[in-house]
Amino acid sequence: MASDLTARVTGALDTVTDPELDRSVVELGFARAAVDDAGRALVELRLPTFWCAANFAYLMAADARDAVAAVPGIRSVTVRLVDHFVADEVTASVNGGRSFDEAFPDQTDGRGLEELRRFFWVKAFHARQEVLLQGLLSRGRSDVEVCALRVGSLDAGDPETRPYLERRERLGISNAAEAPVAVHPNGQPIAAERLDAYLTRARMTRVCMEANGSLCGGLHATRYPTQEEETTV
Amino acid sequence: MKERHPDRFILNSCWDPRDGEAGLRKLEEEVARWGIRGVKLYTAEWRGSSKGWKLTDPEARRYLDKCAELGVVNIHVHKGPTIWPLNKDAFDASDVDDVATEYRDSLRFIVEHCGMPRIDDFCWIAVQEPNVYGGLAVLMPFVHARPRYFAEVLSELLWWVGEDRLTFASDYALWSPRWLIEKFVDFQMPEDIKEQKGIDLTTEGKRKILGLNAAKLYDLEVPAELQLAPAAPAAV
Repeated sequence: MASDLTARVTGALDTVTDPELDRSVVELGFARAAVDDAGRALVELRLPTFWCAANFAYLMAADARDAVAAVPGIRSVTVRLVDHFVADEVTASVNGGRSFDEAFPDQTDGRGLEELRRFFWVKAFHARQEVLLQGLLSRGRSDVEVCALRVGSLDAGDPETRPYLERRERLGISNAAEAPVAVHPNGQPIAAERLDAYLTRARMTRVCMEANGSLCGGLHATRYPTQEEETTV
Repeated sequence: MKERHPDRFILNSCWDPRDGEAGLRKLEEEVARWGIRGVKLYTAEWRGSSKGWKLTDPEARRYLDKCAELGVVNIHVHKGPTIWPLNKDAFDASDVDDVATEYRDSLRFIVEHCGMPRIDDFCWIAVQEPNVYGGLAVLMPFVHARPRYFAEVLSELLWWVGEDRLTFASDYALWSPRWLIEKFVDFQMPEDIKEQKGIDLTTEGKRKILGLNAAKLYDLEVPAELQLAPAAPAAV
C-alpha cells in the first residue's frame, strides 16, 4: 500500500523541474520521497552545491510541496532541504507556507519570484521548441510548412511533442488543434522568413541549458556518489 | 614584483563606485604609478545596506568617465555565479549593454565568465556591441571535463561573439595553466558541429583566443614569429 503511494508521490515529484535546467528533480537526483503508512510524505532535496542559488532552491522546494500534496491519499507533506547554506530558512518557510520574501526579509528586493520563474519558463519553452522544430525540418519539412503547421497535426508519438506542449501550456499558449505550432512565447506565430534566425537563437538557449545541466549533474554526482540509502520519515 | 620585473607584469586595478571621491583619487594615483590599463569590477558585491551596484549607476559612470579620461580602457566585469542578493540574478549583464553603447569609442568591456550560467543572455548583448568581449574563465576547464559541451558552448560563442573577441583565462592560480592550454591547443571542433553550425576553430582562432586578442587589448608587442601570417597574396 505504502509502496504504491510512494510510487505515485515519486511520479508527482517527477513533474517538478529545476528552473534553470528544465529537467526533472527526480531524474537529476536532486529530490527523493518517502511515505509512511499514515500517508505522511517526506521530500528531501539535495542540490549539487552548498551555495546553489537560494531562489531556485526555494522554487523547487515549494513546487515539490505542491506537487506531492496534490497526490490522493497524501495527508501531509514535509519538505526538507539539506546540506545547503539556507537549508533551515527554506525548509521552515516552505513547510510553514511562507513566501520567499518572508523567509529572507532583508535579503531580497521584495518583488517575489514570479518574474524569475517566468523568465526561465520562457527559456525552457525556447529550448523544447527548438528541438521539436529542428526535428520537423530535418525530416524534410520546409520553413513555410513548419510555420503553417497546427497543433492538431503534430505527431503525438514524437517524444518531443508532449514536452513542448507542456511548456506552451505553462506560458498560457493555446494548445487547441487549430493553434499554430511555431509561435513566439507570447503566442504570436513566427513568420517563415524569420524562422531560421529565431531557431539559431533558440539553439543557443538550449545549448546553454544543457551545458548547465551537465555542470550541475557533474557536481551533484561528485557530492553524492551514491543515492541508495533510503530516506526515512 | 612589478618593481623587480617591470616588463614582465601588467597590473590591473579595481574600483567600487561606492568609494566616491576617494576612489577616484586612488585610481588616478595608481594610473600615475603603475600605468594601469584595466580594472576588474564586481557589481554584485554587498556593502552595508547596499546590495550591489550597476554599471549604469550615476556614481559608476563617473568612474567610467575617469577610466576613459586616463586611458584605463579595459573594463573587466565579473558576471558569473554569485550568491547575493538572494532573489536576483547577479549575473544579469544587461547593464553592460547600456554602458557598452555609451562608451563604444573609448572603453572595452570584457565580461568574465561570459555571464555563466546565462551565456545565452551574454551573447545577445555581445553580438550587438563591438566593444564587448567574453573572458573564458570557468568555461575553459570544460575542455577537459565535458569536451562535448565545451564544443557546443564554444561553437555558440564563436557564432555570436567571434574569435576576435574571446580571451583565454585559466582561473585562479591553484595550478599551472599549462595543461589547460595544451588541451585547448589539441582540441578539435567535432565534425557534426562544424557541419551543422558552419563554425570551426582554426589554429589561427586558437592563437587569437590564447593570446593575440589580449595582446591587442593591452597593446603588447607580439614577437614577429608569433604573429599570424599575413593574408596570402591573391593568386595572379
